Amino acid sequence: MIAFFTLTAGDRSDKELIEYIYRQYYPIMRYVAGRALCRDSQGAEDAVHDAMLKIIKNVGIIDASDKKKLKNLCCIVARNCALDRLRKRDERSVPLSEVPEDASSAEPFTEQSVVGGDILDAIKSLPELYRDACVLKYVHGYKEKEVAELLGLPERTASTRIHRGKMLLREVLRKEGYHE
Amino acid sequence: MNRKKKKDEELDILLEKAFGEYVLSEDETFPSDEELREAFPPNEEDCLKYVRLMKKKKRVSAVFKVLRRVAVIVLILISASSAALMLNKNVRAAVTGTVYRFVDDYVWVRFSPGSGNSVFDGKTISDLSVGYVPEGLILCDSADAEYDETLGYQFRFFVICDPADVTAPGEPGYTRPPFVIIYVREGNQETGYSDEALAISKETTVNGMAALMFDFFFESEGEQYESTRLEFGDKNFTVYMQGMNVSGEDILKIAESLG
Repeated sequence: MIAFFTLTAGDRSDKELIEYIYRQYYPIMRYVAGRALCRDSQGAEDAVHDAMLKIIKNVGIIDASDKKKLKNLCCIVARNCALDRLRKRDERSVPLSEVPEDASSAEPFTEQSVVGGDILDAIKSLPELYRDACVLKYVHGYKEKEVAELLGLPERTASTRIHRGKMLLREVLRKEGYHE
Repeated sequence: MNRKKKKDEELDILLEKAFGEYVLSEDETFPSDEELREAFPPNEEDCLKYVRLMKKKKRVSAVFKVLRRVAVIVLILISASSAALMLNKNVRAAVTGTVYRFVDDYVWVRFSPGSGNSVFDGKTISDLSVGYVPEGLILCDSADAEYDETLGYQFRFFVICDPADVTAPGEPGYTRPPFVIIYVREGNQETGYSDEALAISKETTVNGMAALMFDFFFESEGEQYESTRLEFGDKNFTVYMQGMNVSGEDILKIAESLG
């Protein structure tokens, strides 16, 4: 009986969180996914659906106390789901004309893109794949395993993305004199 | 703490701050909440769908967690009670005995006691002796029967072997000297033949008692050896013989001389 009450109580709070996330952040998730998929409306809807499933799956590790972070997390998950869809579409040999120009994952990291020396510019110029993994680690404080679960990746891939993002930024920070 | 690790930690702190700032700055690039809500209004049906999914997922994972905990507790209890029981000498003996008997029933061939008299009639296990030893070999007798407490029966060993090794095992020219092991155990329960015996045996008799003989190969130190096994018994004893580099006829003669 106690187990039943505990189950129901826990269920209620998680249900409320999911309802809150959907009602509050669906528009921004839909916007972010649409931007990654170059305004492909149906693809963006599907990506948001994938993102909601991922959020439901990992609801136990989501910290809802900081709304800004929660919003950022939803954006990251939605964007990654959109990029996943984009990758799968590319794998099915879609003509180049259909590949969006603003899909940042396709944008290689170059030193030229951080001319100006600002750390924020350096972060902005990171490929989204690396940047999102790093944000989940450094801003949300997730461990590599949790980052992998949230992004739907193998743990090793998540570790690699974080490591590469960190290494790319370290080089920039060295050049700018922020770090030895 | 070494220098490299310290630098790495400093970089992590710097990145935490930088990514924190980035997240705030990224937020400013998005359209306002009102604009977004107008462009992409949440769908009530979808909302209910996700809440239902959450409910379902939560139930399944909660039931799974409860079951897993119950299973762990049950396993711990079983292990602890088994360990406590095994501390008792009698329980330990009973368990070991059961295992031995299980192996015994599997490996040993039981022979029909038959209706006639046997050469073993009226003899105890200590009275038994071997009358025939092939030429060039000697008999080493265990002399006294031993009692196995766990299994509850007496047994006795005889070994017929070559008194001298030719050379050390593994060296060129080495030939394994001939030998025969005879193991006699008290008692016999008729349960039929084992699968193993059925597969490779040939039926014969030893002084009128039903017997099984089979030849087989086994490998030792990279060499293949031919071996002959003979099993027979009556209502009093079960005899197991294994010989190597000794002919089947000789093994049969040794068996017939046992009495």
